[in-house]
Amino acid sequence: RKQRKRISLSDFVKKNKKIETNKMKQFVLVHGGGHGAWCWYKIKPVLEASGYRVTVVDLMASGVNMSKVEEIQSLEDYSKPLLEVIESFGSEDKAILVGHSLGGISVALAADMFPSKISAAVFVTSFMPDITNPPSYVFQKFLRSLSEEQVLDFEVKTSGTKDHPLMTAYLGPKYLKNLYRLSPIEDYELAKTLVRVGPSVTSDLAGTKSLTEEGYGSVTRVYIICGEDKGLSVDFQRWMIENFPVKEVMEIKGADHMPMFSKPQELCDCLVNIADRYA
Amino acid sequence: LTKQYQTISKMQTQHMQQQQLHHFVLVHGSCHGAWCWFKLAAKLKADGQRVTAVELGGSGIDTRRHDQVRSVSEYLEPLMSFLESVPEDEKVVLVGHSYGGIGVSLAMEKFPTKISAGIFLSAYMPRHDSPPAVLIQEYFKRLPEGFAMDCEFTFEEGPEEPPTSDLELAITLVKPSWLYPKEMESEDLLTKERYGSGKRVFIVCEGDNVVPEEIQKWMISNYEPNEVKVIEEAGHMAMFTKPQQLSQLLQEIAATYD
Repeated sequence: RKQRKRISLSDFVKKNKKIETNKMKQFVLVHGGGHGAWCWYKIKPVLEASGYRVTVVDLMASGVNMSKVEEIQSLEDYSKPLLEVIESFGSEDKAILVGHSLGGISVALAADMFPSKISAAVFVTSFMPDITNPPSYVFQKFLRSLSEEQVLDFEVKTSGTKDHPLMTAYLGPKYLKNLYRLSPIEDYELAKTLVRVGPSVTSDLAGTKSLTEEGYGSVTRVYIICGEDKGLSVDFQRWMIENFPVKEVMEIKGADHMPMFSKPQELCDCLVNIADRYA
Repeated sequence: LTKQYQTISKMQTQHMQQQQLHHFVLVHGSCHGAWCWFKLAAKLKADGQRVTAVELGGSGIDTRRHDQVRSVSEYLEPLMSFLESVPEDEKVVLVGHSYGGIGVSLAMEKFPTKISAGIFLSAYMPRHDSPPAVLIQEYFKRLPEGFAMDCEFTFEEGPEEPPTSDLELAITLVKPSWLYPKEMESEDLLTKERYGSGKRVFIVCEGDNVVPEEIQKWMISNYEPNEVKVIEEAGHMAMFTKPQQLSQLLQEIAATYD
């Protein structure tokens, strides 16, 4: 019988923390709306096995982060866990920030606040703000573009007060199925047990001031198009690139909205490729 | 709305019974949540089975904070409420993993007529005439030096075998859990007439380093179930390592105790 070496969870975490002091290229992966750090479970081990440090975050009220969505009053509130990770970097530390879907808006905020700490910002079928319009501009345009048939059980609710209205979004199982249409069925089952009500990043949350040229505008950006995404269409993805051109465009053919599930190896290949040339 | 649900549910049940289909209600262990059953749920559903993975209080994405589930009833409320909503003439197959066995035994006590069988997957299986705390105490007594509870993970360490994606998933999702030792000391939790008269099947998970086989076998000899099954080389998280076998096994067991 195989002799298994046993390690407690706390020792495992400590061991991984030690690795941080080595000068390794690192990724910080930021999930999309309603999702959490959990969604990167296939990606993280592969990147780490390729020699990269990887940090996955739960944004506020996401995954197992215990804050309530009602407590989120701003984009900065929502993105706090990500901002704290970057703030904790040493003076020489840099990372490649990867944003999936709604996570791109938090990535853009982080890049605006800490441009010198970001080697590249990668948008994976993601909402990508520009430096002219409010950060929520492309996402709100997307919401308005949804037809009756496309909305399905994607629920948007108003919460907050009259003075400070907030909107929340919830991905119902039918809408979720469309996002996961080419992903393994077990990952769709997983998502159904884990998606939560999340903030809808409108200008009520993110404000009307655009991000800056000196901050976010100075960071290298790469866009990864997901070729079979029927949630965020390829046309819309390309429009966002046209709206605010990037350094490089990559495409994962056959990927639905969740490439970390439908095309994990291809996504890792793209990320490693980016790290090789931009980190 | 309740009437509508009951009508639809009745139709579903009749359809299911014709096709040897069952309703599996899955109860996770300490520190975990409904999420841990994802692979098993997919397999069962692919075979047309009905699956409800319950999320206990303060577990997974349940919004209750740790300090808001200080009692067993708060912790088990989602399981009990769900079983309450199951129509009187319907039965479910209850499956508990690890600490989830306690939930299964208490649910069998509360709803003896709604549960066709309680399946203990490397799970705590108390006697009807002895407080569950005895089991927990015995577990810690028998545990070899250096072992711990559900929150510890084992994996093959070495350059060829980095942490698996399953372990990564767990790391992003596990949360602390209470064990409720004081409440588990009560003599009145379980009775012969209710929990004691239910059908129980124990599934031994070979290679389990969290609830070692010796302890699983002790629980079986301590309170003999109707049947014992085995999953080879499963480790503690059989729903991750052997979802296909587990799915087949559960369906076989459900068919036996229909």
